[in-house]
Formats: sequence, C-alpha cells, structure tokens
Amino acid sequence: MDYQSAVLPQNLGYFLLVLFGIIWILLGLYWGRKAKSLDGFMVAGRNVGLALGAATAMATWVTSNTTMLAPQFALQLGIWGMIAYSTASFGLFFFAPMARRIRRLMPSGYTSGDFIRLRYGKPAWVVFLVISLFYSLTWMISMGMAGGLVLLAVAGIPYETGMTAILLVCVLYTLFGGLYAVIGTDFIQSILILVGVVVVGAVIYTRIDFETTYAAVAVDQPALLMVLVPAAIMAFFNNMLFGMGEIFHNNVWWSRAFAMRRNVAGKAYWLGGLFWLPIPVAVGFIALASASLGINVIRPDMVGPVAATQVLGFAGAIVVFIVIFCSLASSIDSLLAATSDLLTEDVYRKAINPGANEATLRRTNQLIIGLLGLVTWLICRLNIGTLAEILFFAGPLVGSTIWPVAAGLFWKRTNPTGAFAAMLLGSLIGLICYFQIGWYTASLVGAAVSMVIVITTTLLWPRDFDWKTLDETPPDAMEPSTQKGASS
Amino acid sequence: MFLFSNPAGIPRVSSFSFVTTLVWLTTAVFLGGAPTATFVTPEPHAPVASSHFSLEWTAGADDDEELHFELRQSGGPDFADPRVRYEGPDRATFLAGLPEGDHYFQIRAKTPDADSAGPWSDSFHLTIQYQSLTLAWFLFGVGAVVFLATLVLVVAGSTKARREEKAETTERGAFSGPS
Repeated sequence: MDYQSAVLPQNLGYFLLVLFGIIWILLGLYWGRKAKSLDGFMVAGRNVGLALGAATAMATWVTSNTTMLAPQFALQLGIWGMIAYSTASFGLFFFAPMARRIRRLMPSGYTSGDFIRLRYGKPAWVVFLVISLFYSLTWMISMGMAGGLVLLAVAGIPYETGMTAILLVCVLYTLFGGLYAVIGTDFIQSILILVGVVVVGAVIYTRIDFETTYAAVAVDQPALLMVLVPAAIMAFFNNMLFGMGEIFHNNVWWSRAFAMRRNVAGKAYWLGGLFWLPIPVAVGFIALASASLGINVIRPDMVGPVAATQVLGFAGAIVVFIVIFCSLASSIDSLLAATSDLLTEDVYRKAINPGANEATLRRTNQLIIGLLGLVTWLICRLNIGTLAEILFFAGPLVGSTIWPVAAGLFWKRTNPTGAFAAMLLGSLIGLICYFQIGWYTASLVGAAVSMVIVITTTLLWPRDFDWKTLDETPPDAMEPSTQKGASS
Repeated sequence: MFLFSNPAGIPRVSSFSFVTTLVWLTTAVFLGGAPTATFVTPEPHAPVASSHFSLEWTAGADDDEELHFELRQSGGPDFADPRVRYEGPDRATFLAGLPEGDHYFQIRAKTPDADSAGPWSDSFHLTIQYQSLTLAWFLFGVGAVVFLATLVLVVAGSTKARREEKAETTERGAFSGPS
C-alpha cells in the first residue's frame, strides 16, 4: 500500500534523523560516564528525583502507541475509543502507591522478575518471565515498525532505513549510558513531546472547524459518533486493564521505581499519569477530523501523523517528526534497558552464572541490549500486521499479571500456586477470546479470570509470607536505617 | 450448459463467460481504451463484526502511475443512491465508522485530467453486523468489577501499609529514646 506524498523533503528528513541521532548518542556517552557501577547502569544509582522521575514516567508512556494507536482507536471505535485510550493513565495512577511499596520492600531490588521469584517461587517466575519477555518484544517491535512507517509517511524515508536508524540510535545510547542515559534523555524528550503536542493541538484547533468535522463524521462515519457500538463498549475496560497489566508487570516501570528516591516514586507516577491523560484525546481528535479534511486513510495506525502533517504543512510536519521521534526513542530505550536488566538479572545471574561479578554482569547486560536490538530489527523487517494487532496479542498475557502482582505486594496470604494458575489460565482463556470474539476483549477476560483465581485460592488456601524475604540487600551493604525489619 | 462440446479436453467456455467477455470487449471499444480498475480485497463471505474495513484496488492492464480512482458507495446493489467515498491516486482506503447493514462499493479508474473514465467495476458487497450488545454490556460489567476490585486492593493495601510503616517508625523512635 503506497502512501500519499510525504510533506517533508526526504533530505530534511534524513537531516533531522541524523541530528537527533547524534544528540541522543552524545547524551548517552555523557551520562554513561556516571554509570560506573552496576547499580548506576541498571538503576541509575537509585537516586532519581521528582522532576526526572515524573518526566521519565510520562515520556515512556507516550510511546508510538499514544501518538499512533490513540488515533487508530478513535478511527476504529469512535468517541468511546478516544476515551478508552486515555484510561491507560489509570495504570500509572494505580502504580503510584505500588511503586512506593516496591521501593520499601525491595530496597536493593533490580527487576520485577526478582519480586515474582521471591514472592511466589520458580514455577510462577518462569510463567511471568515468558509473559514479560513476549510482551516486551511485541512492544519493541510495534515501536520499531512505527518508526519506519512514520518516517516513510512524513519524510518519504524508506521503511527499512527509518526503522533501522531509530533502532540503531536507541541501542547505541542505551548501550553507552544505561538507565542514566535513558532517564536523562527521557527528560528532554518529555519536554519536546509536551511542547510539540501543545503546538500541534493549538494550530489544529485554529484550523479545524468543529461543526464541519461533526457533519462530515455524521455522514461518512456515523458509527464513530454512536454510543452503542459493542466493540467500543467492550474496548473501554479492556484498554484500561491492558494498560494496568503493562505497567504492573513490566520491568520498565519497576526499574524506575527502584531508580527513584524512596519518597519520590509515588508522586512521580501520579504526575506522569496526569501529564499523559489528555494526550490520547488530543491526538484522537485529529483522526476524527480526517474525514472533514478530505484525507484518505490507508492504514489506520498512520492516521494521526498523516492527518497532522497534512493539516499543519511544512513547519507542522517538522514538529510532528520531532514529537514522534522523541516518543519512539523514549520508549524503545526504556524497553531495551529494562528488558536487558530482566534477562541479565533473572536469567543470567539467577539461572546461568550466579557467581558473576559486576564487570561480567555489565558486559552481559550490554551484549543483551545489542542482541535485543538485533532481534527486534529482524522481526520489524517483516512489517507484519498493524501496530494494534501486534501489541494487543500480548494483551491477555499482561492482563493476567495484574492481580498476582498487586495482591502479591499487599496481601500476605496470596497463594503462590494460585498466582501461577492465575497467570497461566488468564493468559490462555484471554487468548481464546482474542481469536473467538476480538482483540478488544482479551485483556479484560485475562484479568478477570486471573482475579477470580487469585481471590479464590487466597481465601481457600491462604499461605503466610514474610515480607523480609523480598529484601536481598547483603548485610554489609545495609544502611543502619534500612536494616531488616524496616519492611512492613 | 456449454456452447461447445469438449471431446479433447480443451478448456471449456461457459455461455456466461462468453457473454461477459463480449460485453467487456464491446464496452472497451465504445470507451476508446479507457482505464479500468478492480478490487483486490476478497469479498468477505460472512458479515463483518466491526465498524471498519480496508479496501484495496488495482488498475487493469493499462496501468499508469498517474491514474486516479473514484470509489463510490451505496446502500443497494443497483447504486440508486451512490455517494463518492474517495477520489484520488491512492489504491486503498480504510473505511471507518460503518453502520450495521449492507454496503456496496464500486471503483473506476480515470485519467488524471478526468477526460476519460473507465467503467465501474463489479460491486463489492459488505455486510456489517456488530456483536451482540448483551455480550458487550456483560463484558463491560465484568471490566467494571475487575477495575473496582483492583482499586480497592491497591488503595486499601497501600493505606494499611502506610499505617504499619508509621507505627513502625514511631515504635523505632520510642525505642531509640531521646538523643
């Protein structure tokens, strides 16, 4: 499927790509000097403050999924779709108190996998790792693909070139700087994203006539204005629970909780959620306006960038280019760092080489970052399906982790076998619904099945748990104020 | 019902195919080699449950990158009330917000200056039939229950944890005594 002619000249597109690529890589090298220890590389020294914390939460959550999937939701599911997408911010709101708890229970933790292993034991840990790695890979693939598609649509850069460039830049600066570089670049990227979204929103507001938009949608796309469209009704809580599942389980969010100062983690996630909340509605509206603007949409996941660049013209296209480049980079780097942490800590250190020293672990971590980038690039080359199809396939899997993670953090008596069964059966039954009913039900069903199993097994077969088990701080590394017993 | 007998296994031509070819040739002669277009997307055999659908089309043998296309939609197969859905050089469109019911589409190719327009293609029939509202509201209800239960779990859990932390801090302060 060919797209309409790109708004930006290809040369300018390449110039912006190279310019931002060099900036991020240099920043990665600069921040990388701070990451001297493994703690520095993996969890940014556990000393991230509120401004950086809130910015990294917001920037990571403004992914290609927000800038490209939110408009797709609006185009496929109408008004409901727009609101449904913005409910993903509830994941950040709910995770705020959890982050505070995580920081307190696991002062020297590295990954979400650590928590599941210590809380529920090996069988649940294996299922959790499979879910988490599968999801991380689908998320990364969807973003690599999004990068290629956007650069093609906005600047006419061939899909493979654009996708390769974005992945390469992110791999390089994450490789040099670890989580320091990821959080630092996230801060700059979050400012560029917010300014860009406000500028794009303001210009579009002045150029679009709301009455004309409404009339065009009512004639050509009447179902987008209907309240009673079953798929849209089902998608509402499905998307909210998908977002919760993504945040509750994924190491992207856990590694930030470990990286932030103790009293900062909760507030940072709240602020990140608040900043993020209006963005899907703003970008979703652009999709609804596409009919009145006479824009022919070919791929639903491209409607946002294509409509914005066509409305805003040359200058606007540059802003859109920068916003999307930043939103992609801020999420790809986070995923690379968090997934490599998960593989280094949970697979390499715990299962393959328990005696590895810091230098070996850091080298392994960097090797994994490179390999993850390579695997993602290979799969992205196939350009399979739309972004939503790829990402939501992982929906039931992540939905099924909500209750095992949340109950495991707050309930002493949650049963490990129950948590294992909840993730397994929730994923399987959710996947059946994905194929039998539609993607817009899978996370919801996965989460519901998992919740019922966790509650039932906890009530019927309660198992006592000592919270101190979660604190793996070596005795010689403990500060006096955090000696064992500080856990509630 | 064949026009010719087939003693030697020569591919047989049905009377229907013969008439269709004749009509097509006559039309082509009358239109003076006007460009043609056909749908590439296979027609769905069953009703589609969502309100959106992707349509792709291609030009005939006389393909030219400069060609424009016109896509029209109607509520009936006779195209008594046609409405233009797209006009331009693209070869695909994503139809969004389709209401329940039968939708018919036809495509035709045009030269860029619209001097010469080809014949309308065979019509593409699409039936939209949403899932049951009962199922939708049931799943909405299930989602609401999971959401509320998670909210209670997180809020109650974190409140209790904070209370315990506070009590612990007070206890530790009392234990260490005045400095």
